[in-house]
Amino acid sequence: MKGTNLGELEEIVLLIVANLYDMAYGVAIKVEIEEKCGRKITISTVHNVLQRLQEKEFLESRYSEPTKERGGKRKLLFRVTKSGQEAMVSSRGMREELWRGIPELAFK
Amino acid sequence: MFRESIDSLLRKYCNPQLYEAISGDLEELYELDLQVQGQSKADRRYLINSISFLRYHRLRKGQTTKTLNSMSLIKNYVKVSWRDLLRHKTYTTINLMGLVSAMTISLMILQYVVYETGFDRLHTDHDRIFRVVNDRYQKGELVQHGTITYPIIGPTLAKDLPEIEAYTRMTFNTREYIGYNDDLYLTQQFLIADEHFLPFFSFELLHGNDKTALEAPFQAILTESFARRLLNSDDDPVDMLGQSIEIYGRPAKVTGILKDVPSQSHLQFDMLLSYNTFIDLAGESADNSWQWSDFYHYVKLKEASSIESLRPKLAEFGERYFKDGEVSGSEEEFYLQPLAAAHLDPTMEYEIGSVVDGQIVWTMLVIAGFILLIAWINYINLTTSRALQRAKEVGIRKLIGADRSHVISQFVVETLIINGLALFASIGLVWLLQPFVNLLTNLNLSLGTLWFSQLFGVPFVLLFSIAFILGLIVISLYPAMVLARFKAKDVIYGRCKLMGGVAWLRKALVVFQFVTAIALINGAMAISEQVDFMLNKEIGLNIDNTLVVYGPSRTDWDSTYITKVDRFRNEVQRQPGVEMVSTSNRIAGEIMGRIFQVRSNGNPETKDLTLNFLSVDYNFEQLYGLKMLEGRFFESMDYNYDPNFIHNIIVNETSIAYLGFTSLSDALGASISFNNRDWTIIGVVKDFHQRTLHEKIEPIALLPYLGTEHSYAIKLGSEPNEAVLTNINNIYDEVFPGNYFDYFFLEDQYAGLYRPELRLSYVSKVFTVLAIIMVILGLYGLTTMTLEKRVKEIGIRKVLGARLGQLLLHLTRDFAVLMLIALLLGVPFSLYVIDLWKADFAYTAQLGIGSVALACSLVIVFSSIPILFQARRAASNNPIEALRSE
Repeated sequence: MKGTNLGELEEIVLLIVANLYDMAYGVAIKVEIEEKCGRKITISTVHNVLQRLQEKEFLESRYSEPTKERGGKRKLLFRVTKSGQEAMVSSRGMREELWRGIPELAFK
Repeated sequence: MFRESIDSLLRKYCNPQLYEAISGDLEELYELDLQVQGQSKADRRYLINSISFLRYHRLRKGQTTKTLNSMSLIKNYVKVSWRDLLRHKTYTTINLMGLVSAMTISLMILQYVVYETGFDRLHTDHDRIFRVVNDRYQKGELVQHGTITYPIIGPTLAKDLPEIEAYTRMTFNTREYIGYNDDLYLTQQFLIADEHFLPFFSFELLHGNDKTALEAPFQAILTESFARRLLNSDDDPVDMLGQSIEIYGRPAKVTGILKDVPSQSHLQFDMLLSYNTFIDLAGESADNSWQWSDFYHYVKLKEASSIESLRPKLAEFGERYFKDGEVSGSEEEFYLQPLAAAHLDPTMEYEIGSVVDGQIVWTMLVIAGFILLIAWINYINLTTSRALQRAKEVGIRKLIGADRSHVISQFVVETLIINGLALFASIGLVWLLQPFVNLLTNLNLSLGTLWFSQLFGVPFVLLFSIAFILGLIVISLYPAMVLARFKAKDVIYGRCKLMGGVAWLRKALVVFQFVTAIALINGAMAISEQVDFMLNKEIGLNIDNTLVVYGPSRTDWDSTYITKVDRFRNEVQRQPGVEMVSTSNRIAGEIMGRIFQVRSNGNPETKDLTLNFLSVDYNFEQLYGLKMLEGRFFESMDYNYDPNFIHNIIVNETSIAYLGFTSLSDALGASISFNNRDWTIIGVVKDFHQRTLHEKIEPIALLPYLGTEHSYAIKLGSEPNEAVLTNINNIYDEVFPGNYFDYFFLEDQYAGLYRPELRLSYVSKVFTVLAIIMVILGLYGLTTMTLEKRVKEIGIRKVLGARLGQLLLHLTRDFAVLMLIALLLGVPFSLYVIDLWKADFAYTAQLGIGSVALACSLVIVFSSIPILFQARRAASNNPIEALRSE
């Protein structure tokens, strides 16, 4: 496994999954990313990232109960795991650390 | 419907754990799109979205065990295949022998084809280089189709046609002695080429300036090895640069050393002599004549121009300069022959370079393909007929959990193993046999030829690999699919049997093999009969025990030459063992020169005729055994040093009607005119074949001219011996001092004219034998397998009282039917192909019914041997052995 670093897209997807809590599945995540981040993303990319995050054990998944929508097919719902949470926190901490390190003069 | 099919694909190839989520998401997105964008756009986006999952390579990765599994499976396939090959040694040997011999012969043929079709690629821009060739018509009839034209053609074309970027003109000379340091050295062929030659072609100049080396008169360029010969040393031949050599009795300066001409060049030469030398010696007409046709022109087209657009311009060119045949005696048409075709077109007359018959080369390729096909058919037949033996294995595999694709890939692996082995073995075999093949074909072939060559502009290796792999796919998939059809439960219950289609296809393949074998053996028969016919036909010339001594070309032509000829002739004839001496400009078999614009004075409607001519002495008739039909042959009084006093002529039988005479006596004493003079016909000679039987007998005139270059034919009373040769040599040196005594035997040279046919005959026999051996091998294997399946049947029949003969008849009936079908198809097919081939000959042997019958019965007998042998063995087994086990 390629360490536990988070890619930019991976971080966004993790955040969105956390935001959507218990309602996080492919299409919902895609729609949410397009709304919140204002960028286009294909469904297959979303699945790809989800799969990668699951391999890193930052996400876990389960199937929902079947409904009449979607041709009767179940949704694969994702939830952030404990280690996912840690990765998000450490990523955020690292960013804040870096922000703090910027000398005030730098942006003048 | 559309989405359903995509969805079912997805279900098949997607990781099952993820399928539902993906499919659901796709469906939901589709519904969203349907509301916002409408049906067609939603459909399109559904398709795009599903395709985009293709890159989602991790989808399948959930089952990591799969990859490991297939590795070990392949290992198992290899192991099982290997064991199976070792266990069934007869089967494996038959298969390997067939494949190895077919692949070996195919590789060898491929070497040859690639070599012959790869000529003249050494020149950069070779695809833009063309040779100017021309057709000459008289009264609408084609009289010459050749490569020689007039010296002015090249410069005029370059001036008139803007499409031409560059041109070069040349002529050639054979067998000339070059003087250097008081010694004479023979060149087999050298070119007299203009100053454009070196920049035009890409022959590699080692020393010298490619712009000026052929500019001035009496400049010569030597090839490396010829220069070494002159220097008599193996050192760098740069020492020859600037030296003076003697040619045509004049000094010439060596201005360049050329790398030896590669063998894959249709132009072959030891030396280049500047064209201006030739103009200097022969006069201005060598530069600007519209009548003297001994010259070769090559042009290079500009990059953008196409040969098609030039065609009408060339037609117009011929009409403009040669209208109504007034200029040269013929109406002339000019064409551009691609350089790549120059080596492969044998129809051109007066060739400058080396030529083979392209059709034969391509036919060889086709035959190679057929032989490989026969071997592969053997493979298919043997594998499928063995299917029952492998049924248990397939059943067990399926029971353990293999599906169809696993079984198929197992047998594909097996095919790859056996064919890979065969390919390696045949590459090794080709490598081992190479020296013998090269000795036989007189070519310098090697596997390297294959590796670096191109065929149809594609790297050969690539082409071969694609063809080979395609072939392997076909021959591996079919048996594999047959084998994979067995169902596990049938096998366990012992109920398996082959589906009907298989036997049907196997029969068709056997018929195909028979047809090929019949066609090949008939073809070989026809070729060998034709060759025998050509070598043995009464050609009207007696060429037995005839020695030919090259003419004393270095002796000057003067008023004393006729007496020298007489002296040489008389002294040689006085030698014991020598019967007669005759001198002529061409000996039997050689191509003749032509006289154009001949007129028959008594028949005014005949004009612009063309006669072939031979310049002969008065012994010519007797030495070659010609028959006079009318009048007399030449006598010594017909000869004169001054050509203006020569006016007697003898014609052959064919000329009589051509010249407009109604009978032989009519022609006798008649007057014809050419070369601005009148000639009297003093005799008519019976037709003889001066050329090969490819060509019709043409009108021929015999002229009483002598010349220093004319060869001497010496008829010996018996086999030549050392003493006679030494004596002749001494007389030659005495009468013609300063010349080289060199000779050959006429019979050898004459047989050499049929070398392509002889070679073809030889090769076709090898092919035929090989093809028949393979068919026999295949049949042997096939009958072994089929009879094994019928052991019980045979046992029961015997128990019920069938006799050996009846059994044999019963067992071989199937094959007899196949053979009959093959005969019905193969005989007409091969007769048709043979007719096509024979169209190239003016005189052909009639292929007898007897030979066809013989050829066919040979095929039948040879292929019956393995069948009868096997059937007999099966039929004479003790029936108890066969039935006991049940």
